[in-house]
Amino acid sequence: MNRKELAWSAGALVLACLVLVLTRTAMASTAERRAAQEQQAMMETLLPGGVTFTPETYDGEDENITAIWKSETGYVVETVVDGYAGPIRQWTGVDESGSVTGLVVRDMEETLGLGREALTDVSFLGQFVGTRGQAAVGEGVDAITGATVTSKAIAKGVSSAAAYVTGADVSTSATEWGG
Amino acid sequence: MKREISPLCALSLSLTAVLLIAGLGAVIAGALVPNVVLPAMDVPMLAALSLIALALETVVFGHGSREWVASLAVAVVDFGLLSLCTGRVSASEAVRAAALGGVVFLCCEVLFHSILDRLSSGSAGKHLKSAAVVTAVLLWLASQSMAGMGL
Repeated sequence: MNRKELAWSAGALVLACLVLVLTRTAMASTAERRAAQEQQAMMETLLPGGVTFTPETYDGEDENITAIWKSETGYVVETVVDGYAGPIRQWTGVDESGSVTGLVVRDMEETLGLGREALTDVSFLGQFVGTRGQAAVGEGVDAITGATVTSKAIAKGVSSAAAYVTGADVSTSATEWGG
Repeated sequence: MKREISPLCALSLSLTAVLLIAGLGAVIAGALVPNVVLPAMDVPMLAALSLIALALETVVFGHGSREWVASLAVAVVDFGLLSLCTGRVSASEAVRAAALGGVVFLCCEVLFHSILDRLSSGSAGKHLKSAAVVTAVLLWLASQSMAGMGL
């Protein structure tokens, strides 16, 4: 590579960096506004009847729980549980009686076509709605085919969320592998 | 095939273009659709970006000699800087992206050009652009075996 080509390459890289930074900066306010709108809409869906969601500090022992929002009709609990390929962050709506009212997976790195199906598998996620207390794969909850570890991790997150409201004891051990 | 620029410069421009497009996609998607779950920066994703860049380079600029160490350096710098500029990774994650991206890119480049060298010496040499695309697709499929390994 001669000097002229080196200058082209370096210039292209600098230009690309500038484009990314400027785009990010220009869209920052839009991103913040949309994130707030989306969060509010999602929480209202997870917890019917909830209007105002106030963050609460969690100082309990369950390491799966990372954030809590209190609303008029219950709580939205964020949990992060290790799945097959990485942590699975999910929000679970739980009403005042400890019954799960909704569930959504917010972030995951699971395998495409297997664990990643949990993002959109309504029949799997719907099994948790209406449950109280411990939710366990194989005990009333069917796992996603080929994604047992992912399924168990999501069930563990739901159990932690429900237990926060009911006060039940929840195991915070690592997600079990195997059938 | 006659090249107007050196293979290393062509590679650098191709990789920068591919990573810029991917980075813009991540930034815009993250801003407009906050709840979108973007693909993880694992080996198959890094391999996909690398192979698209390699195929693009071959299709646009042709097939030429390689400078492996310089290619590695280009990939490390590109993956590290551009991932950091998206604002979606921390500095330490950008360093890991640079290291892993560089290694994955180098492996892809060696395999890609090894296959193309053999194809270009045979009857498939007349269809080098198609061969480049097919080679990239096959190598990406092979990289799926490492799904889940990444940052």
